[in-house]
Amino acid sequence: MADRSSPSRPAAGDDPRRGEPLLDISSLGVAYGDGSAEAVRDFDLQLRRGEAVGLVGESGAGKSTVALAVLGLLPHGTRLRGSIRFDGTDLVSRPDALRRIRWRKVSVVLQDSMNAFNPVMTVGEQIAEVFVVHEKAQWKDAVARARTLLERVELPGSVVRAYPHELSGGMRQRAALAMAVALSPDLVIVDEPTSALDVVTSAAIAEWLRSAGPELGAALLVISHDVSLVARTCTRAAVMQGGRIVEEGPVARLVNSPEHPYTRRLIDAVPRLPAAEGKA
Amino acid sequence: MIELLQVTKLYRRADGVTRAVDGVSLALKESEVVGLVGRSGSGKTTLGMIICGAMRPTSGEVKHAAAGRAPRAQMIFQDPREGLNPRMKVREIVAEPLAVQPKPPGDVEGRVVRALEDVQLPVDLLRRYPHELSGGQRQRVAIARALIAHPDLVVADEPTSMLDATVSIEVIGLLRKLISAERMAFVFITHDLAQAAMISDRIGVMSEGRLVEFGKARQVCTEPGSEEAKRLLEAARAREAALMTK
Repeated sequence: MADRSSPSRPAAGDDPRRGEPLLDISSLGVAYGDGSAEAVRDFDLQLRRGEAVGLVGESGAGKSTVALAVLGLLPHGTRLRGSIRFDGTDLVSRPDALRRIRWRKVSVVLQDSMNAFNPVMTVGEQIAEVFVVHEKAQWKDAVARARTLLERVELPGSVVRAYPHELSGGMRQRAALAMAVALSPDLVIVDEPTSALDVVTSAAIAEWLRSAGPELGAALLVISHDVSLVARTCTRAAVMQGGRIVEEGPVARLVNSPEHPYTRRLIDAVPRLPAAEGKA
Repeated sequence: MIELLQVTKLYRRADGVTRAVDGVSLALKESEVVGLVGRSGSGKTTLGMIICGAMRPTSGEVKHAAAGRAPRAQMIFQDPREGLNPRMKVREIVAEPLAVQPKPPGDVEGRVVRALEDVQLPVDLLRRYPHELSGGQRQRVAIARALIAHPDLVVADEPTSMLDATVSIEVIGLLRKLISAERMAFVFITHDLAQAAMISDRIGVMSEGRLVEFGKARQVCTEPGSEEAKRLLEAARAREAALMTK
């Protein structure tokens, strides 16, 4: 299991570097190599340690481009401007630094976790492999830790022996979360974690992110077109449209008194239940 | 107009048999909008295909009121890319249900233009191919095609779940308007109880192949009788609560 008591991972409150943001994106511009306009423009966002921040917007807003830029996974030929400082290191000017931090310090969960797993390995083997490769763990210990980790995301330990296709979409997404937090990263990026799931399953995942997120000690960047998911899991959020942030602030303020009409539209787009007879 | 009696559909798989639909009985009235709500794997898509006549049940009976004639039915799918022929232009796609009729009507062009206007798409899209359109535009094309020949019944299977939130709410508003203008029965399949309630007269709740509840939309949303409806309602409420003034 991820070691919560390790002295190398102090709680957010005791961190001597508490003052400086964990992730500091400044004036970021991203243009894909196909000559089209910038997918992301003048983008600024800071995340403190342990903080949960949402990035809301729709197709083409540039949310996933921001995630890929932080992860260093943009295709060759993409032009970057500005800076992305992670824990003090600029990832734009030193792309080699990324390889060292990916997974250990930054991990990601994508919309369709079927693609995150090797279809011919069991879920347990894949999570165990993380411990073997990164921490030189013994195989037997690694499998035991994988089982504990799966239980933390509220999956039965028996999932260790299951193949990815044997799990439902919601279970697979939980397993992907387990793998993402395996090495106790400082930042977990979840990109549309629930949009392939039904309402009941996504409510359960949102609840897990909300309640377990702080306990993980990791900062969360929740990317979604669903403003209600961000409202449930984050304390602060930025709304993106056409490659830019159009509004940013504490979630409670965004939800209660959105200033930008697009934020209002996103909130209004969430389907509401009918009121009981007589209350309508 | 359609009555299902003890309808069951089994899928045979390598490791056994799945009861996708398990002993469902229901009656669909003319010009009625019914929401079929359930989680992934609850059997709602299979039931929708059976209602639509696109699939035969393994056992049970599907009765048609109109002198034994099957209703003229159309489907709208979750991913409009799968339902739209990539080699056809929007004009041909929308006109297809007219073209395949035994006696194609006159003024196909005029009807295609009107159908496109009905779904609020600019007429110059008629010359485009599906891949040149946005997801919302493609779904509107699928709706135009489904409605152009004035079917008796339309089954829409998660028509908004691949669309952005703001586009999705627009498409639901559009469907609501079109349904009230046409005389047709409409089955709206979704996992989202709140979305179903926005459009449906009655809502059926599916769980593990069974229809566990079937009642007036408002009633299912305010006084659910089944455990599954309660679960779906709780999930929709949690989402709504996150957006309430705090």
